Amino acid sequence: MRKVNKIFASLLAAAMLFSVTACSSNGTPKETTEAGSEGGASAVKTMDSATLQKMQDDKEKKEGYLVIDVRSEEEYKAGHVKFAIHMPVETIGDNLSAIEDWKDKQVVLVCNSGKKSGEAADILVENGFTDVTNAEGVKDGGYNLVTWGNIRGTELQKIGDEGQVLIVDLRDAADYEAGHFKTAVNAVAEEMSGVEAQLPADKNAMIVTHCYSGNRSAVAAQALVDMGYTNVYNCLDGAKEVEYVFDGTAQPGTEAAGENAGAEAADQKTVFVTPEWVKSVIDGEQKESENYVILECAWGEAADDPAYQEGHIKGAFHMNTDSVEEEEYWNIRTPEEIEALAAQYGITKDTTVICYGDSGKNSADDRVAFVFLWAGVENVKCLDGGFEAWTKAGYETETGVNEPTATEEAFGVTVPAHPEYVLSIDEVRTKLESDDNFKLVSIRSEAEFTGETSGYGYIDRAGEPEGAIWGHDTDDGSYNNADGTTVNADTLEGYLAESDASMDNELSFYCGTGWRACIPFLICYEEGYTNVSLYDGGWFQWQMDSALPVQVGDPNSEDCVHTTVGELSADKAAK
Amino acid sequence: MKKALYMIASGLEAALLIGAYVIQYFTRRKMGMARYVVYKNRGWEAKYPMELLQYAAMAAVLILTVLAVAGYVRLHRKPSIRMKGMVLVTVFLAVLYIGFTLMSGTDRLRAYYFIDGMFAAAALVQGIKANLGLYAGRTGRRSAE
Repeated sequence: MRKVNKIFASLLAAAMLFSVTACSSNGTPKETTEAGSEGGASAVKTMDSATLQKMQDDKEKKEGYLVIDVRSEEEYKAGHVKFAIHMPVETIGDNLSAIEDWKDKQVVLVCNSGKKSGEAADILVENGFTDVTNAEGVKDGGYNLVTWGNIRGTELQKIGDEGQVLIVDLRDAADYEAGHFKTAVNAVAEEMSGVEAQLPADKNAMIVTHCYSGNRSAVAAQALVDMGYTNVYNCLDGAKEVEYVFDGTAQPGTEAAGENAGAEAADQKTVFVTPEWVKSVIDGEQKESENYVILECAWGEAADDPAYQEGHIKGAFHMNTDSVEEEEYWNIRTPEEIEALAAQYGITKDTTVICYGDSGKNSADDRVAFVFLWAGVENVKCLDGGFEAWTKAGYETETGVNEPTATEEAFGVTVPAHPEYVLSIDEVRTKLESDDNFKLVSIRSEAEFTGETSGYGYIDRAGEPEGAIWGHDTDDGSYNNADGTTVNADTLEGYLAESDASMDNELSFYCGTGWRACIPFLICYEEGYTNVSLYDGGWFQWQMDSALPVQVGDPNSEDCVHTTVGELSADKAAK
Repeated sequence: MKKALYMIASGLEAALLIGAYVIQYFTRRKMGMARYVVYKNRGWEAKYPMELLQYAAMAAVLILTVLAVAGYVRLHRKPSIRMKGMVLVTVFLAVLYIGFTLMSGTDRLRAYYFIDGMFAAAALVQGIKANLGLYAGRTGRRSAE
């Protein structure tokens, strides 16, 4: 079946290519003659907006080419060519595997003016794509733009398997009955109001439409947008092109996104949990349901935290990160203070503490989660993907401030139960000097690591403790999968390998003041590594002692300067 | 010229008071700002005798305010509304500054030193302005007589 489809698609692509070539006499599409690619296999063609729009409107030809919008996410969401998928030019080179099957078929690139798409086209050609077209920019007009997004079949399969997002299945009822994704509802594209009751109440919740070929689902996607939904995706690859693995034939009517589709239990050591699991805890379906607190973690008081004020998980308390950090070095507060804080929030060592931030990149929740693990709470979780994932899943939120009920019950263990999770600045110095197996891993941006900037408005000096290696930054998404969830230790191992280190070394993570570094620690903790710790003081504390040794620049390069804090210039605060 | 200076001084006072509000606003809402403020507080406390400086500033403001009130009572038997207003604002700013300095602190308000400095500057500018207005006005009238 797939083979037949591939042959069919290839024939269509060939037909498309033929028609495209035939059109070149009147100017579109035509081959460029730049960069020595004239007439060669790697030439980038151009195409005007009218031609592409005409192709988009032709349902039959749609399968023969792939349109990629290479602009930013904001620009794509604001309006794009009807069947364009989104791959920003900045990351297209890293994600070529997602379009590997289009290497020998026509790929059309679009941006605002043709510049970014031109850059992307060059990347594709360099990577062996044989039929690449740079289309006229969106800003030049001529396109009927849409605001719902498009995804490929592989993404739909993943979303369907995860079972957290409502899928609107536009196939015939009989095919739907025979098999469908567990969170799918069956609908008729022209009568979307018929399934309105099964749609999420939250208009920002993610909804995916799919059908046989991506046409009916496009109509449904537009209908959902017209109904006010802002996060709608159409799957381009229909059931005729891709053999999806459906996981259920149960009638999902009430299983749509926004309701618990049955989460599996999570091990105590598992830190990063799905929205589905958190929802099941709230719904009383997990053993953790008996004794848990949910903390919305962010800096500042609840009254000054717009994220909490605008909406939060039902029953969540706001946790100001200042409550866990002292003001001198922003290190973890004293054990007495943390114990008192836990009591204030009704937390003992047996309470399941579920932390979340506004997004998967935000490390405020990881910081708070780390502190409670260090203190001795045995079951600490972070909502993977943060509040963003929660709302995408369509789960209920509430506004208003929840006040925790304090407990008089003893914490149950001496705080900190795990002092070994934190290294002091003196311990780090000693280990750097005397332990070859010890690796101090910087979880900071490349600019911070190489001493271009301190990264902070209140830190004047830039550099790194001498001997540190780079473990990449969490703020730039290096520790997130494409869907916003947290990566596993394999990714970290890859970063370590860049500096000839591995998971076999004793690893101590640090950053500026101890937030970002908590993410790799928690990844390792979850996967059972015990050779990891957090150097809590980070660069902030290190650069306060003028005698301490520092490196400025890439330590693998000969240009790296080795000096002391006292010799550093004090003009490197982030502007 | 005198009017221009008066306007500039008034504008400066307004800017200082607005600046104090803005700093407090962002110190509560931006983590980077809050940490910057805390960092500066620590630096200033380590470098300068902050308490002594505050007492010196309070004494200066107090003297200027007393002089302004005394001048107003003694020199202006039929004061203009503008003169009354100027003395009232002088007293208000002095009370605001001294009250804030004595009743608050970095433990209550992270931006305490920043706000305190701005209140002090506003009160001093107002005190100088009021005294110049009162005494220079009087001298001007005497020479005219």
